[in-house]
Amino acid sequence: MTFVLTRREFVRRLSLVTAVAPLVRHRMRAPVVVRIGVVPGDNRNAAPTHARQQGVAMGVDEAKRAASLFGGTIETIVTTAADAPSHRLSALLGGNDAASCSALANAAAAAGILYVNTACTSDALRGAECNRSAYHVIPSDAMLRDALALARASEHGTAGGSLVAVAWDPSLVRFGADTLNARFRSRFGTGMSPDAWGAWFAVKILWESALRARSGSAAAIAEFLARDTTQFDGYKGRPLSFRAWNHQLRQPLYIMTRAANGALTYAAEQPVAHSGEESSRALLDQLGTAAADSPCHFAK
Amino acid sequence: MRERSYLVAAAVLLGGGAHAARAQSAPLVFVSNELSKNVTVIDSRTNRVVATIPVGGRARGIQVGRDPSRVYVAVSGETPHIGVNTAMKTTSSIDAVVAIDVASRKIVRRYRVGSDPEQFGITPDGTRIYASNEDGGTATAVDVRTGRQIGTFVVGIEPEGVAVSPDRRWVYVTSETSNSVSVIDEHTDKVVDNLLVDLRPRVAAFSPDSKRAFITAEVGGSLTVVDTKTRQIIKTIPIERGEGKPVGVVVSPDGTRVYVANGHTNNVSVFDARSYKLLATIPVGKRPWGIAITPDGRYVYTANGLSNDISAIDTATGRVIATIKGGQRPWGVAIAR
Repeated sequence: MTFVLTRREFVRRLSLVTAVAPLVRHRMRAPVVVRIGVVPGDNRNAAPTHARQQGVAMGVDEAKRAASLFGGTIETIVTTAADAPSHRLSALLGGNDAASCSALANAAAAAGILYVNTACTSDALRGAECNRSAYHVIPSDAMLRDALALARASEHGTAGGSLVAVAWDPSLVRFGADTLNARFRSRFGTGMSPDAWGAWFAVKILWESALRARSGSAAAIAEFLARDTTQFDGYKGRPLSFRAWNHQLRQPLYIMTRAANGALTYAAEQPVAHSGEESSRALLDQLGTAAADSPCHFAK
Repeated sequence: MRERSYLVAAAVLLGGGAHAARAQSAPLVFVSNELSKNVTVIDSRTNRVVATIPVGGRARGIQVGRDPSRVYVAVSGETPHIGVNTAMKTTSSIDAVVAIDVASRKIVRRYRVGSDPEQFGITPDGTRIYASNEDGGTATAVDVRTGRQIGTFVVGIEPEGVAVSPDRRWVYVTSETSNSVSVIDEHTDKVVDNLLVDLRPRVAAFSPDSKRAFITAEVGGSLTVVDTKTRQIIKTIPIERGEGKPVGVVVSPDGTRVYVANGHTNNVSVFDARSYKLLATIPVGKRPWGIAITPDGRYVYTANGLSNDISAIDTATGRVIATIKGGQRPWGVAIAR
């Protein structure tokens, strides 16, 4: 007995196979699950805590939207340093000062998960007290100082007035920053602060790393972050990556002038590229502690 | 299907006369100017500006339809200013894709394509416009004849580039935040796949045989080559050591070359479309984004946003043969077929 497939039937079946192929391809992958533990700050730090919640909320919504395209899930769990190990987390977010950031970094290391620092600029966190589990998306004090020094040097010694270096500002417009700032403002009715940007970016890098590594486990994300080719788009124009020697995010910073009433006005970006020839990494490594000078030696 | 065939026939009948009259003259080059809110028209034979057409808003995406007497421009209401504070983005009543009649140099039609249109594509038969809606995370399809919206497609976050394959099978929509390319099947009007590509994908272009799609990633600094049949990424090519910030991309009409406009390194990379080898790097004006090629493949034009000019490249010699003053912040280029 032979089974004869008519041409029409063959074509019909073929088109069915073609139609479901992309779905099958996605389903064959193990689902990516990213679970982020968020540790709320105390009442003394209401403003940065609030900004972090907003940044996380926006980052999670965007990740969920991407998950609707590529599969996977992302969720946040409000937790404490002590409870973190019980939630099977990918990473912890939280901390508003050097002491709380350091405590969370240590708790993450003990739980075998990642900690993403979105608010603490302390050099010690990236130096003598550094921790292999910790990744710093917010710039260090050294980076902020270096950016200001470059800005003042480029003014040829004239008094620069009151200048301040920031990781982000709600008035930024270049490199798509206007879009991100407008998205944030339309959702929360307030500008995107550096804390909010850091939190949004922390969620973005955790989700994107998991998606590209095809696993939301802390180990898979850490392995992805350690690759030399790994980089991210933080709406700062240049590809952003983590320094291998202290897990500090390389990034351009913004010099703002501060008016008497405290209002900030954009003045310049640092470092300034002098030609199109410089690599983004070499340029951005002008800010902060170089590998050779770093007191960070990750515990084995 | 029947309706489409009818529309094609109608378009041919309507467009035929204008096409014949223009056959003797060199193609016209149309450049959208984001800040001066107008379109610069250049005669490709003399490389002189022959007209400037106001469009009443921020002009970005620009395309010539199947009927070369119509040029379409994405116009939106708000204007960005580099380095200073800006008010919130809001959807404006200006937001539209406008059709310009080339002969009268007037806007003859406005297409509502959703909020904040930036880039769009026109099907080869000229019957549909697909536009990206940056803040909505969607793409909108509009019937060119009736002006009606035919469909809205959920794509990635911050959709930007739109390209329709020459065989009218696929519409690719790039999304900057989700680093994705959504694949719309033009036969079924459904999003059938989403490809994860390099950082901040800006523009997509198809090879003339529709077998390959080339996608620039601005922050990733690369060009991704996709096999349109399997929807697999064949190769991701770093441009200018990953520092080029490539935006515009165009494939030569004979399918042998890919030209990429690099906004950061102020040059055009020329690749072999089959081996993906870099053949040449041609310096142009400052921050080239838009790029287009003449139908005979002899000249490539770039819109240079920070030098406010347009570079004309002779593809045979790989040299810029003319630098033409544009409006303020030239953005996109389109060339009549």
